[in-house]
Amino acid sequence: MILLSAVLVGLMAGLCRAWISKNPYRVLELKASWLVILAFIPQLFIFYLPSTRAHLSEKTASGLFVGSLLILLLFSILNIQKVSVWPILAGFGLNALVIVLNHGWMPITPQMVEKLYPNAPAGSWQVGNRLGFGKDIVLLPENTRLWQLSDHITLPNWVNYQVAFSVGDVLIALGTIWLLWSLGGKKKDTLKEKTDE
Amino acid sequence: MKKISSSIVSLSMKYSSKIRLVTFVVTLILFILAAGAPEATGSVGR
Repeated sequence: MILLSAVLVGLMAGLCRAWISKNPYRVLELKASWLVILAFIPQLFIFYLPSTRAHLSEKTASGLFVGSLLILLLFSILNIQKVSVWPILAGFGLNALVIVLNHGWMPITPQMVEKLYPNAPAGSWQVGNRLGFGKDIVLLPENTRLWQLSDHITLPNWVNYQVAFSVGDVLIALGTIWLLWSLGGKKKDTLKEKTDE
Repeated sequence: MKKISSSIVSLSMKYSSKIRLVTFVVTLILFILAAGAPEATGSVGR
């Protein structure tokens, strides 16, 4: 939801910018966009479809997840020359690194799980196991590699929407807003974009 | 005839730019969902 909100905010800001400055809203030409769809398909089965996610073993799901991240890595390498996507790719890189180093899942601490799900029934989650059908694995900080890159950040308590996210997610969100806003700029502002293409 | 063909060309260019924008945004959304998406936990405590 947070990352999708970043798309919405960035797109609205960019479109407004384009409208105010009377410029066309530019589109970034990405190489091999089909790789993103290819990478998303296994995640659809692992995380989103109730009929499949409950029947995949943790090992299979983890393997498919890491496989999809490798496809995204290939896509990132093919588009590395586009400066305006660097924050998003950097955020992805940090997430991918901590996931690969921690059994193929994004680590989250037990304290964070208790904060996010205070009413979870006893036994519904365990340290060392995957959290629900998501991308997280519950690990103690001392057993987490690069815990600083794990899902350890939350929104302030007064925000009525509690979710854990990582430094990589922050970079992805900010990078998304910046990218979509910049595409509404004047042609000279995106000259570097053109030369990178 | 020339007017019709130029209208078709300008219409297709107008819609092709919108299609390109939609394609780009959808690609971006799928990428960030696959690369981030912090809240895909589902069914914990439910």
